[in-house]
Amino acid sequence: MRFASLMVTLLLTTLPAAAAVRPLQPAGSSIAFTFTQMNVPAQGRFKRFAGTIDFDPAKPETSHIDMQVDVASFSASEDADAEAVKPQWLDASGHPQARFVSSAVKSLGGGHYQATGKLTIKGVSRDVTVPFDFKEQAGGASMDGRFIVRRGDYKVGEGEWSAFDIVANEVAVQFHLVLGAAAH
Amino acid sequence: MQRYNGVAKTLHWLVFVLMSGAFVVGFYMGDLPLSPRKLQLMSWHKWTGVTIFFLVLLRLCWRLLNPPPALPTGMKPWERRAAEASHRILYLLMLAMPLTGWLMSSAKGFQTVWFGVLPLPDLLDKNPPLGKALAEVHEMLGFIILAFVAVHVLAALKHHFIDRDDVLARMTPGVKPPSH
Repeated sequence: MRFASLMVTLLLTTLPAAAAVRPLQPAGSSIAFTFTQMNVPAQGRFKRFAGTIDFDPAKPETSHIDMQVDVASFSASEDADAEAVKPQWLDASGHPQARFVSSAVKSLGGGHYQATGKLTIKGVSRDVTVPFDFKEQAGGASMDGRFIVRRGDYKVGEGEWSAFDIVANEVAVQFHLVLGAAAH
Repeated sequence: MQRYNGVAKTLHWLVFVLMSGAFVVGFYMGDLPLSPRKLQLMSWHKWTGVTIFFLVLLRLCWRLLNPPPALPTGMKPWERRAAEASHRILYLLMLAMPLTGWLMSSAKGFQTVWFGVLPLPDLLDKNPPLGKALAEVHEMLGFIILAFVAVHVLAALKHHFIDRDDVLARMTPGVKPPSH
């Protein structure tokens, strides 16, 4: 009996602890982006995304974040939407999902956090750092952040689009994630 | 002969050159598939349009402060009215054309940034169906301008070669008034 309870205690303390899974609520959440075309910023968003956000603001190092974005849900303008899914851009048929998987999350103090991990777009994985703010709210929480993706790193925009003079390399990604109450 | 002054002439011919360029590029790029070249042409077209818009405002101010030379005395009352009306319409079209382009850019979600440096305020919120409708209006105005410019040119030539008055000469450098 003693041995068994010791084993349980050991298991609980040594298993990578699930901090607190907070259900992502698509309504109210957004993953938007700003790209720059001949010095002119233009906005768009991804309409469909999902993810598992296992985050405890008190113990951020135990967190695990896994976000998946359906790249075919790219929405900016009629012309751009038709273009973005093509193989030379996001290649929605060959690589339907973009994905971020965190490897470490740490607190920067004052409600600011930073997740590092792998961002995979169009089959190319890169290490990225994503700063975000976390706020507890009535019945849930929200996560807000912004980071820069260099489209050239992921071969987004190949061939005639690979130069950055018309469509800039840097694309800003802004996210606002609405999370439900933590399920323990 | 009383000619237009140098500023009025310069503005008139400058706007003519820019309008011709914007017109040719506008019609050419309309049917191009999306490509870096098309985006570049679109930017140039927008910058030219904004330039025309400001130059036309400048022309109107200049015209108010410096009234143009009087019409030839031999013109019939209906000809005077037609000349007056067609000039008003041309000014209106020269402002409406860039304005609808600016509005359609806003509605399509692409801000107009003059020469990639000076952002113009978005006058409309992003609204793709409205953007499409404004694009139709913009294109239609192109044909209407073409028609009025054709009338403008034909009328100037008629004044010069048929009425043999100084209407063409007073605006066109290097053109002498016809001898009577």
